[in-house]
Amino acid sequence: MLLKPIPMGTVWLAAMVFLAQPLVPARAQPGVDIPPSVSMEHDSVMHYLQKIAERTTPSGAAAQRLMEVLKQHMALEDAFILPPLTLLPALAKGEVSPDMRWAIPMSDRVRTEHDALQRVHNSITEATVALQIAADDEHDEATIGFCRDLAADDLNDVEVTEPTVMLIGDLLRSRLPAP
Amino acid sequence: MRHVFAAAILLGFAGLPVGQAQAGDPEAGKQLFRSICSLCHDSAEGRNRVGPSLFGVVGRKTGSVPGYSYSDANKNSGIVWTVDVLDRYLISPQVVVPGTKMGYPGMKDDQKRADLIAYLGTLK
Repeated sequence: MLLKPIPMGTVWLAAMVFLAQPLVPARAQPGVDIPPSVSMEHDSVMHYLQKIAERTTPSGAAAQRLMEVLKQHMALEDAFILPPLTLLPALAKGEVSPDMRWAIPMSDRVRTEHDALQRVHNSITEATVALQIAADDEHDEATIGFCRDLAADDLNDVEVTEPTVMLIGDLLRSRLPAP
Repeated sequence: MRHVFAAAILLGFAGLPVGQAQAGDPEAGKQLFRSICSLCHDSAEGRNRVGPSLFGVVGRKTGSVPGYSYSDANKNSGIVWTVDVLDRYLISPQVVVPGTKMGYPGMKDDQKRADLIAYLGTLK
């Protein structure tokens, strides 16, 4: 079947419209987007733990427990901690716009739920210690190293990630007109 | 009896082991340190990791290890890590220093705490 030729003007118009579109969404969508670097890191952690969890030794049970706790933590992160971080590159360039307002309630939630978040971090530490003890008994140096890296990563959430999200909310609130 | 009580108070102010229910075994404590504390702490002087080095921790003022970035809660607590304080802290760190960034939820076993503190006392 022969197609009707498309007028050249239509082609140019379509090309102009296409080029006018941003290649990526200008603003991350709340509850959907998180920084890909963090997402990949989460996948990597869970992939390693999944392998350990298949063991029938104490380290297998400890890895299963740690996975459960981390899944709770990652669900909270995906819900309201990580999405505001997608705004950081724009904010660092001095760009603030009303379509960023969605991040304010998320940031507020990090502040109001601080104690609950801390309890989750405590559970992660407890489960990580249990895995380290089991790995030590099984002479599994790689998993001991993994546990130490995970402890550092968890502290990074407390020292850097969560305060940053709170600051993002404060910045947006101070720069945006009241709704 | 009054003298014993007075001595206990003096020892308490001096940061000596008053109130610790059981004698600790430093060798058992070393193993506990290796399996639990080493997740975040080193026992060598000057080697800070996720947590500060615990070399010389017994008798030290909080927030005083050079090169380690403490939480405000820890820096401002004004605590000296006596044996007695360490014992209470290890039961529930967040109760003794609210706002501490140490995530360890606590060691409830009296003997294990005594062992661990006995080991920490050798780090000097």
